[in-house]
This record gives sequence, C-alpha cells and structure tokens, in this order.
Amino acid sequence: MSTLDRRDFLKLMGVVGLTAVTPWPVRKAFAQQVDPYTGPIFVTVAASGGWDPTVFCDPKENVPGEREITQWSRNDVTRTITGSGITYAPFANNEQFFERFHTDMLVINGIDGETNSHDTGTRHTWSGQIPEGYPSFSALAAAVYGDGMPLPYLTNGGYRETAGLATYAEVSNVRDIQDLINVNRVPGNDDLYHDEDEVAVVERYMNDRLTAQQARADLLPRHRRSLANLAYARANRDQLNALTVGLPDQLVNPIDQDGNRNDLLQQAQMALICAGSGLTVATDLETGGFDTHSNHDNNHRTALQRLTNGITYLWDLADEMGLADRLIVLVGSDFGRTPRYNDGNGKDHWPINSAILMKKNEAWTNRAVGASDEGHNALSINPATLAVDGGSSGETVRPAHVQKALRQIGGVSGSQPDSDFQLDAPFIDILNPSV
Amino acid sequence: MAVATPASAQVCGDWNDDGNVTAQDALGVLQVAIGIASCGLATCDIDGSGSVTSTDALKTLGLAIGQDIEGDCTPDTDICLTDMEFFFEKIWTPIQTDCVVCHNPTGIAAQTDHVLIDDAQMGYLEYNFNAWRDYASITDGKIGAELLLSKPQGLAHGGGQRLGITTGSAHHANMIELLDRFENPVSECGEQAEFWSGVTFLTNNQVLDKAAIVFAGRRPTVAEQNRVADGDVEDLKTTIRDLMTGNAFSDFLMESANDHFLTDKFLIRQSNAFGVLKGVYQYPDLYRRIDLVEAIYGDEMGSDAWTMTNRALAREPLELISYIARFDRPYTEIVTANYMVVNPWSAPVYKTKADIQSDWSEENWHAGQNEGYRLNGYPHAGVLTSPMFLNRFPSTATNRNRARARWVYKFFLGIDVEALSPRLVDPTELEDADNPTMNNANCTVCHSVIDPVAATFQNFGDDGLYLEHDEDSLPSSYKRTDLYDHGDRWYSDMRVPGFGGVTMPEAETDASLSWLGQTIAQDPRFARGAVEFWYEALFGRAPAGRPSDPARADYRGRLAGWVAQDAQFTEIADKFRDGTAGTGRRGVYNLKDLLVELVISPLFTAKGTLVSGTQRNAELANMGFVKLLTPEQLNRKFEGIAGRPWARRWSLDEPDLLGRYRLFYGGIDSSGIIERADELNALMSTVPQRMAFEMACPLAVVDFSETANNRNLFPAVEPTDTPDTAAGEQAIRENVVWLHYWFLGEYLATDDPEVDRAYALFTEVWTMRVAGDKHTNLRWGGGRCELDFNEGDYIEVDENHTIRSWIAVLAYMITDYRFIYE
Repeated sequence: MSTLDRRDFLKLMGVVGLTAVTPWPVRKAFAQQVDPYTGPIFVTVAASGGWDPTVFCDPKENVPGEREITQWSRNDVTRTITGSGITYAPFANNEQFFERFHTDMLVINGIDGETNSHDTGTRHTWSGQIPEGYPSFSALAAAVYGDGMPLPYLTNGGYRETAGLATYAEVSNVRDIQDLINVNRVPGNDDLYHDEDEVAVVERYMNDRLTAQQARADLLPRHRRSLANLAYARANRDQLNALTVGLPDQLVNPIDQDGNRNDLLQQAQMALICAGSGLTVATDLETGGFDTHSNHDNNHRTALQRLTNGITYLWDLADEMGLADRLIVLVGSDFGRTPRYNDGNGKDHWPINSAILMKKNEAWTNRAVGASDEGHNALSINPATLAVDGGSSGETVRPAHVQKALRQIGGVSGSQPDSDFQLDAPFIDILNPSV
Repeated sequence: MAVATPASAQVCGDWNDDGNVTAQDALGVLQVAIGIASCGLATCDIDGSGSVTSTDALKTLGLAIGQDIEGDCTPDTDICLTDMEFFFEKIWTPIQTDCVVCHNPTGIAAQTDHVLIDDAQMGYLEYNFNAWRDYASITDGKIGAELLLSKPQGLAHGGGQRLGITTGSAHHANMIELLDRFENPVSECGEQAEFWSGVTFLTNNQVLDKAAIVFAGRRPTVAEQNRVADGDVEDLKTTIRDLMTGNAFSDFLMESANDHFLTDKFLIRQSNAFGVLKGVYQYPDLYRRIDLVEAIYGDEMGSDAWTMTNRALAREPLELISYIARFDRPYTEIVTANYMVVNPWSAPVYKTKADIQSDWSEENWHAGQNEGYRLNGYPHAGVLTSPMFLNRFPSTATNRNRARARWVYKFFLGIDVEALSPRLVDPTELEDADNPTMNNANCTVCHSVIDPVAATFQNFGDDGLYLEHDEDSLPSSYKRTDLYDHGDRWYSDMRVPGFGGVTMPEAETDASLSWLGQTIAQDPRFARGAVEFWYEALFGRAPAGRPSDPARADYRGRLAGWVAQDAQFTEIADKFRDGTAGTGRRGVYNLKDLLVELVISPLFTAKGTLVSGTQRNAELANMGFVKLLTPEQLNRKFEGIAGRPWARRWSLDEPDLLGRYRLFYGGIDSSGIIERADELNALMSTVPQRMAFEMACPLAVVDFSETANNRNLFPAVEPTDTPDTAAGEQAIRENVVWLHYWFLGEYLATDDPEVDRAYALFTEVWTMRVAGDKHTNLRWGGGRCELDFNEGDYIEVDENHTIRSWIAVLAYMITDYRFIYE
C-alpha cells in the first residue's frame, strides 16, 4: 500500500504555506531523507506524586535535637560511593541501583522547584518553566529529531504539553497493532479487502482532497492545525511497518523482581521497541505512589523499588537490544517531601527536589552537583566551581538548569524549538566534568 | 460584540485602516516604503523586519489576493488603551490576580482596607478598578497611593514581596501609570474593531448538522432541516434542543461527565463497584438479586446479573446527570439532589422503595433513597454523596478530604484551587511546625479556601463510607491523640466546615454535604463552573486559560481570545442562571438549554477567518468547533450515518471503536489512561482507514440490495449507471453530492470541484476494473467483503463494476477529515 510520499507532502505544505506559518515540525522533515532514526533515544521517568530525595539520592541523617528527618538514619548512615560524589540512602533497592549505575549518572540535588502544587511542580520539572505553555523536553526532542517520523513522542502519562511542536501517542497494547499497520489486510490471514491498485487510487484522491482542504485561505487556526496533523500522520504512517519486525506476541510480564506489579516494565519495553524500530525519539515513562502523606517510609519504599527496578529493566533491555549507547534518561518528580514527618507518619509537599541524568560513557557522569543543607533546604552554588556559595555570586539550581543540561546533552541546544522556548535561568556549569 | 481589549484593532497590512487588506493597501505600503506616505510598523511592517520595505508591499498584495501569508507586523507598544483596558491588561491580569488570593472578602487579608473580588463575581473589573482608585485617594492617616506601590515590594506587607516587584520593575511602572490615569483618565481611544469582525460563521443548517452528530449521532431529518432553513434562531434553538433525547444524548452526557469523574473505572471487573460498597457487612443486600437470579436461572444468568448490577452501581453518578437532563430538573441537583438514581439491578442493593424491583430493564432509571446501607439516614447531596464519586476521589488520614474539596471547586465552580498559589514566596516557611495550614500565610492561601470544604466531607471516610465508625469517620490514629474529644466529627486542629467565609450551622452536622451542595448551588460561580464543565464536554478541550506570561510574543493575541471567550461564558452563565438560556421555557439551570447556548455561540459557530496573521491567529487559536471525534462519538456517527456499526460480523454489539481500538484511538479507560488525545498521530490515523477499508464493501452491498427509495447511501443511482453515458454521469454526480452531504456535511452543487474529484475517483476505479476485466463476485472478487452474504438477500455480482467503484468512493469519504472531525 502506498501513501503520500515525502516529496508530495513537501509540495502539499508548500502549496498552503505551512512551511512558513505553523510551528509544527514540517520544515526540516522534507528537506532530508528520512531513514530509520538512529540518533539519541530520550526516556524520561516521572516518579509522580512528589518523591523524597532524602531517602534516595540526597540522603539526610537525623540531627540530635532536631525533629526527625529520616527514619532510616536512626540505625544507619549515608552510603558514599568511592571515587564519586554520589551518595545515597540505605533504603529500598538504592544500594543495588546506585552501585550499579553510578558511573552512568549525574545526580543533581538541591533543585528549588518553587512550588508545592502537583500541577505546577510537574510542569516546572518537565518543561523547566512554571508558566503554562512550555513543551516537555520529549516534545522538544521529537520536534528536533523526529521530523517525518510516525511516533516521535510516546507518552504514558504525566506532563505532555507539546506546544504544537509534535503529536504524542500512547502505545500500550501490541495485540492489535499489526492490524493497524496493514489496514487492508483481513485480520488473521493474508487476504486483502481491496485490490492494491485500487487502494493506491483511493489514497491519491484522499491526499489530493486533503491538499485542497489545506489550501483554503480562510481556515481558522484550529482547522489549519488539525489538517496539518492529519496530513503529517498520513504521510508518515507507512513507516509503522518497521514495527512489525520488533513487535513481540505479547509484552513482558509486568511483575518485577520484588514481586510487585510494575507498569514501568512494559512502558520501557514499548519505548525501546519503537525506538529500536527507528520510529521514536522520546518516551515519557511514569510510575506513581510517591504522594506519601501517610505511612511514608513503607509506601515510599515500595514506590522507589518500582522506580529503580523499572529503570534497571530499561537499561538491561537497552543493552540487550544494542541501544544502550544511544539512551539518555532523565529521572525526576513533581517536587520533594517535607523534611519532617507529619502526624500520620507521612511527609507532605516540599519544593526542594533532585533529578538524575543518565548516559553511558560520558565524562560528566559519576558526579553529584547541587546541594541542600541538613534540613533539606536548597543551597546556592557557584556557577563555575559548583561549590556551595552563599555569596552574591551563588545561584540556586532550578528545574530550568536540569532542562538546559538535558538540551545540551541531547544536542537540542541551538535548535529552533530551543530558541523558541528559551529557558530563563542563569548559567551553571553543571556538565563540566572537571569541577 | 466589542470586547475590552484593543489587541485586534490593527490589521496587519490594512494601510488605509478600512478593515480589509486590498490591492490599494499594497500600493499604500509601497508608497510608505519609498517614503511618500507614512504608516506604523504595527500595520505596514508585514514581515516584522523593523522597517517598511517593498517586500512588505509584495506581501500585502499577497494577502490581498488571498495567499496564505503570515503577517508579522511589529506590535505597537504605544497603542492607545482606555483606562479599563489598561487596567485589565497591565494591572488585573498580571498583578491583582495575585493580590486577590488573600485580599478578598474571605481571605486572610479580608480585614484590611484593601479588599478585591475575584473574576467569578459580576463586575469584578469595575469593582477592583474602583477599589484601587479609592485606596489611592486615601490621605488621612496613611497615603494610599504610596502603600499601593510599597506593599508589593515587601515593605511592611504580610504577604512579603510579590511578583518580584521593585521600583525598577515593569509592574511598578504600570502601577505608577495607573495612579496617573486616576488623575488623568483616558476613556476613549477611537473606534475599536469588534473581536469577531472578519470571522465567518456556519449557517443555521450547518450548526444543526454538527449538533445532530454530537447529541444524536445522526444527520438531521428533513423536517428538522426544513424547520431550521425556514425559521429563525428560535427555531434553531428549539430544533437543537429536540435532538437531546434518546440513548445517544445520554451517552454524550455520561461520557462527558465521566471524562471528569472517571467513575467508569468501576465498570472494570478488577476495580468493580461491589468493591466500592465494601461487601455485605456495609450493604447486606448487595448480592441478593444476583443470588436469586443464579438460583433460578443458573450460573450464566447469574454472571449476567452480576455484570448488570455492577454497571448500575458504577454508573449511578453519571446516570444522575442524565436523569437531571432528561427530566429537565435544575442542574443544581447535581449537588443538591436528595435522592440517587437506581435501576432494577441497583435498587435491591440500595433497598430503595422505587417500584422497579420486578423489572429487568437496565434503562429503567428512577429516583430513590439509599436505605441499603447498614446505617439509617444516609444523607443525599447529588454526586457529592455518591459512593462511587467518593471512592473515586478517596482521602487519607493526612489528606483529610482536601483532594475531594479541590475537585468540588474544579468540577462545580470552575476554580482550580492549586492555581491560587503556583509559586511559593518562601519555601522554607513550609517547615513551620505551628499548624501551618491554619497559621502560615504561605499555606493559608489555599487552605483557607480548601479546608472548610474538606470539613464538610466529615461524615464520609477515606473510601467513601458514611459514618464509617458508626458515630464518625475519623481515623483511629487521630482519635488516639489529645486533639480528639468524644463525639467529634472533625479534626479540632483544622478549620470547621464551611464555604466562602460562611461557617456551617451546627444543626447541619449530620448532613454537612447537603449543606455544602445547597450553598455552592447558590454561589454565583456555580453557573460559570457549569458552563466551563460542559464547554469542555462539548468541545473536547478545556477552555483557553488566561495567559499569564506577558513576555510571550503571542500574549496580547491570546489575551484578546481569552477575553472574547470570557464574555461568551459570562453571558451564557447569566442566562443559565436566570432561566433565559436556550429556549428559555424550562426554568433556571437547565442543562439542555445551556448546551443549546454553547452550540449557538460564536465559540462553536465560527467557521473561518478573512484575516490572518500572527496576532489574529493567536486571538482565534481556540475558536470554532473543530474537534477530533472521540472513539465513542465516531462510533455513533458511523452507525448513525452508515446504518450499521463497525464491528466483527459475529459480534455486532461490540463495536471496534469501543473495544479493541478505543485506546489506540485516543480513548480513556478511566483508570490508568484518563486523558483523551485531541489530535491525530500516525497510529491513530490508521484506525479510521481500517474502518473504511473493512466497512465500505458491506455498506455498499447492503445498501444497493435495497430498493432505491429505501437506501441511505445510494438513493440517486443504480448499479447500472455507468460513466459512459450522460444519464449515468448525471446520476453518479447526484449521488456523489448526496454522499458529500451525508458523510461529510458539505452542501455542494453537481459541478463543484469536489464533486468532480469524487466523480473522477469513481471513473478511474471503474475504468481500471473494466479494462482489467476484474472479478465481479462481490464476496471475494477484488478483495474480501466483510459481510455474511447468507444473512440476507444481497447482491453478489457486480456486473457493471459500479458497486466496487462506489466502494472506493465510500472508503474515500469515511477517511476524510470532515468525517473524523466535526
């Protein structure tokens, strides 16, 4: 079955002036040959609900005379990795996780998210900005790398504002995908519904009509956007055939090593199948259970185990599929949790946060930057030396710095979407391996 | 309708300012470019280069002849603003919306001289403008104007510094300008362009077409079309309202409500409604009818009884809304109804006295009281006391119903409480151990609003059980503390039940949610909240939010669009409240009439624009009913138009769009996937294509097997009509015109270019088939036909190759933009 090819699509876009008027990623896509995508694969992992860095990557021990900040530190101490600035709390599966991955991670602590609202915190963490309308990093990366791709941005929930840069897709069930990839095939056998030559004629007329619809000068912006999306989707859906190679009959059993149902496993598997098929640039994974207003330690332990087990599976499978060297991962959450336990043995919302960037074979990994004090208050750092700096030159680390670093690592900095959605944050040399 | 913003006043390229861009304007811009005429950059710098050149003249000419060129005229920063416009754009939106969080009649700054009202109140702009003018005029004992400038800098201000305001900031400068305007008012800026100027609108019949698809899942009847074509707007309103009956309308209502309430989660066996009701200890007759059915009719029927009972229990809050609409009861009953709705399967569980327990119909819904719970006196307050609603939004010992309160504000008053304070002033204040939600200003910003409402849920436990511990629903962890006194219903270290600064009377303790429902139903924001709730239901997207970042290039355009939307919402809410909405004959707060108002509003009927450009595009970004149909809506539309569902032929009651492809096509499962996709991606785009390829053949064969006057799809043509005769071509063209209307809602003439295109498609396929001497057997020749030919007396041979050619045309129609979008 043939669909509109890229040359036709470029012509179509030119006819209606879309190359000049829409923010959609149509300009670059058709000036280049689109082969299966082989660039960086971005995966974000959202620990939704607001995690507690003090039991994870920004460990805090109780201070005599102060209210208890962590229960694990009643009988245990912070773990430090030799030769690395990374420390972790002896809690959940942290030891297994940090000891294995510390060489591939940059821990950023003391991030001031400036909010304790879930919606705002989520937006701030994953877009780098508090005001609405900024795209998630995944949307930005999809726009930069995903021109002409059918599924450049996969999401499993969480913050997925695209700001018109790309469309996202949810792909969670493989059983019926085959039937959608070849829409003219009768399910379960090789019969066709229509002769192929007639299908080609129908599709040519469909696309001619779509061209004419887009060429109208009086379209409302929403019409123009929807028509562009339809044209874009049609132009690129033949590439879905690549998925037929990688799709298993069924996805991995979602029970993780601790015996818990863990949706991250299937999410990660689909992300890598689609990326490995050359169809996907960025995927947002999401796992919940972190909003532990009561029974904090027990509930947080389970949630953290799911999180680290899921990330471990992601890297294991990426290794197995030969994709690990292309993988760039950002792990984060809405915000942190209060440095004190409430009456229900829980912890409430707290703006100070952490994040973890992961990539193999990089000089900037195996480090921890940013800082918070013993009460988990953010400390300003010197933008050049990254040392704690309470003076006038000190800067507070904010989500925008994390997002800027990710844009830099991912090769997105300097692109048009990067320029269109600039992040307002003074420079901090987070990625400099020599400091 | 004029709106309070000048943002749309200047049209990029409109050199002579006559409201249109013509060749005369292009000549004028050229004269400006060579220096013999003058024009501001906001009008004549089409490419936004900072100067007017011959390139701008060429682009103006392009605009004049209809080319799709973007006008990027440099915004005119010196544009005239009246005092109210200036106040709205420079003071209220960026500054006072922050102040009003505390400085309102029920806020923590209510006792100061500086009290504002929020934008849900009628006349809030004038009130707040006057409030600052009056405050600025104070000179006795304190200098009001100086305090207005110094407080937000954090000088002697309980709220600290706000919005980063300093003496050098833009906000500060704007406040100084406002003070100057109090002395030197600017009330006129000349003639303003109307926001909707240059926008084209659907005809009444086109509005009816869309409304019929959305509310009834079908095209209008001839009688409905004629009534609208021959009538006025009142006829249109009446006809639209009359569409709001039957299962399609109920489905629309319940799907829309479920997109917010998500209670369909309990339809899933793994998270079923029986679990919500917590077994026979809480509801002794929970399984009584199921057991009876099973004993008499066996396991299979027992299983069916379980499914129907579960559906009845799970759907109860959604069916309540449907019930209110169908019987034209006031929409306020969504939070005030002193009843729940039951059908023959749920009535025995709740032991209502509704006389339907001998019936079997799932569609037979009645009002009743919950007398099936183990305690007497279950209070009713519409959705608020629904066990399903309460369990879908559970609480915890520390959340203390605050999440439930948040959703009350969101669903019923249109207020996002979390947005009251998106950014903290001082994060370390959260470490405050002195009951910060009561005492710390950083926390009370939200908690003074949320907590009294949270307290009205006092009688319901974390999972939604009424008086879970017989006398209260307080957690045992709290009851072990010194804070608890025997007999307490609520936490003594939290705010008492109330709403909007009013404390709930003690006598209402047993029915505190009923009190809350009655109170919020009387709140002026209730009507506005309903408008926003049902706007999102109808349009499939949230209302445009007020832009919050003046630094963004599209700020003014988005602001103008928001103001226009706001004006529509306010007007509709007023009519909804006073009973003049829609046909105005069914009393106050009538949901059907609210929906009628939304449909006839320009938000829905806007069809196109004669003026484009960056600014105008931002203004119109959210206008017009441009909606990707949900899987459920597309399923109804397909069945309503095609006459049969897209389903496996052995399970016609399980349409593919509601089953195997629902989530692929952007649907939700109300559990893990709770947000609908509102735009297509590549994978989604394959779903309607598969639908078209599978269904085009059976549709054509079944329809052509009928006599012409009984056909839905091919009333104007016979299989013997071929393109090689003039009469054949005429018949084919006439049927193409019909299909363009029937499938796509287009009104075309037989010589329209789009009719030419579809006719050409027909002819090309027909020619290929004839020339190739292709098989004429419709069961398998030229592809599998997804039809059981043994189930009816169907045509099996396509002697003239016309039916297969029409099948190609049907596939073309079903995949079209206008079929999958409305």
